[in-house]
Amino acid sequence: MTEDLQGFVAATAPLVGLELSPEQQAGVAAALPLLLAQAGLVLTAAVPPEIKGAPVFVP
Amino acid sequence: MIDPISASAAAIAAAVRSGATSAVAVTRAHLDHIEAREPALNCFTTVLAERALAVARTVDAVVAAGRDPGPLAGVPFAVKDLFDIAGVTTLAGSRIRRDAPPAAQDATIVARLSAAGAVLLGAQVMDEFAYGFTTENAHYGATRNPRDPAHVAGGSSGGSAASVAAGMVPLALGTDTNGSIRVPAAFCGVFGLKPTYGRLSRSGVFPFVDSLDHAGAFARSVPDLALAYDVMQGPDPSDPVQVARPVEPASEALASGIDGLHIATLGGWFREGAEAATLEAVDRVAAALGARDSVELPEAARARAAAFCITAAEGAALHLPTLRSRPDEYDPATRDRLLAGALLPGSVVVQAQRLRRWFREQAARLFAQYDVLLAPATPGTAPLIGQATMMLGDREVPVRPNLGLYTQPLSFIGLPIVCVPVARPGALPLGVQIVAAPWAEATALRVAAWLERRGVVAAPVAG
Repeated sequence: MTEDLQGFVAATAPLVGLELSPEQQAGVAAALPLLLAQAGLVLTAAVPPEIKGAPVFVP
Repeated sequence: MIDPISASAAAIAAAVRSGATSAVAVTRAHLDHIEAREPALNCFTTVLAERALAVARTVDAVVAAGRDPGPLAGVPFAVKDLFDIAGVTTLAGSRIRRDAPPAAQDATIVARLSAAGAVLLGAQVMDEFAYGFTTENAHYGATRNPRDPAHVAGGSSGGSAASVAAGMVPLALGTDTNGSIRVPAAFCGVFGLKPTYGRLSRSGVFPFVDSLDHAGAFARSVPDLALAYDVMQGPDPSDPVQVARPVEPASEALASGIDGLHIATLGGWFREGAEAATLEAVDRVAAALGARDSVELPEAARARAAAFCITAAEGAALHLPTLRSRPDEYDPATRDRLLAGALLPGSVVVQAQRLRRWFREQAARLFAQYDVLLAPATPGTAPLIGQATMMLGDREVPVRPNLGLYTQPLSFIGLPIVCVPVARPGALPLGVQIVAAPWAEATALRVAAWLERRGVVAAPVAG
């Protein structure tokens, strides 16, 4: 699992301009499970469709 | 004659205004006290002795001239080191900002306190870039808890809370994104106010998460907290988030008592995992207030999760340039979480903001029935410095991400909250959140003042 996440970090970080050392990749991989667990709770929340996201852009 | 170290801000201001003591004498006493206690506690990154004494002399000159020196005449205060101070580099608890230029002017609310006669003594230790709950800073060391120096002060405004508890200053400013005023207030046994999101200007405050950042204050009494809050209110167009509401003074409401207020305790999420002593503290406050109802704020766990994700993503966006160019200068514990936030899918943040609106409506339903809700501030008392894990019910969990379990869902929707220290002689402090409806800071302060007058909550200077 951790190796998979470190591979994910190694592959995706350069795509957003982040050149990370192996040590930094490992640190990010270790931080991801907790963050993604929280993201899972957010994405599975049953928010009614009429509730819009914020901020709303006003031209 | 007052003892300037244990005196309240209101008592100091009254004594300075009347000529019973001088602002210079009060300032010198506090600078001496800081010098004596700082080596053991580590609350300050910068002590501004010369500036403070110069300001104090000005206050004394105003008094001598028979003019009004302001409601905080000669009251020493200090600020978390992310508030701009003219001529001083705002470090935000980081190493990276050591080479940033000094601030050109004071942050808006620092300037407002100064204009009211308060005397700024310095800038204070915090978690790096405010991303933490313990103030164990890799660059500036850990702030120690004045109630027991083996324990953390809490964070991220740890230096501010600890300095108030230790009598170094009677007032301090902090910020609260996910609990960074309430957690250290609870651990250090002082009063903390996190106003409504958008109430106080954040202009001149180094940001962490723009959509969640609040500025607020610490004090050892509720009247002092209200006095500072009243002075800091008022529109400031330079903070686009701040709502241009008129000043709504809280001090005059403190004597109103609690008659007519409907108060309930938050159950569900806000009792799960808490230590028995924590629940006993909440129940003691509820019993004193005659609050017999228990209500649930639905989906608090998901609200906390949404705050967690918004924090990671917005924090990452803010720091992306320096994460790219100077990653080795961050504390790895800060850097790794920010980098993880940079890789979070955007759909999570959009859904988190939708959840924020929905959750706000759920809270509004409760506030249609109740004026005030009660909740614990933290799962338990302050952990030891260096402690990695703690028990949450029967689960062993990491300390750092779990100290804000009960604070995060509430700041997520910007509610005004006073964290009150429950009197527990001989034991580490515990805090209870007095939560009010948006813009009803005065109600939360009124309840806190009532509890203080009855001795249910108290914040004596830590010996």
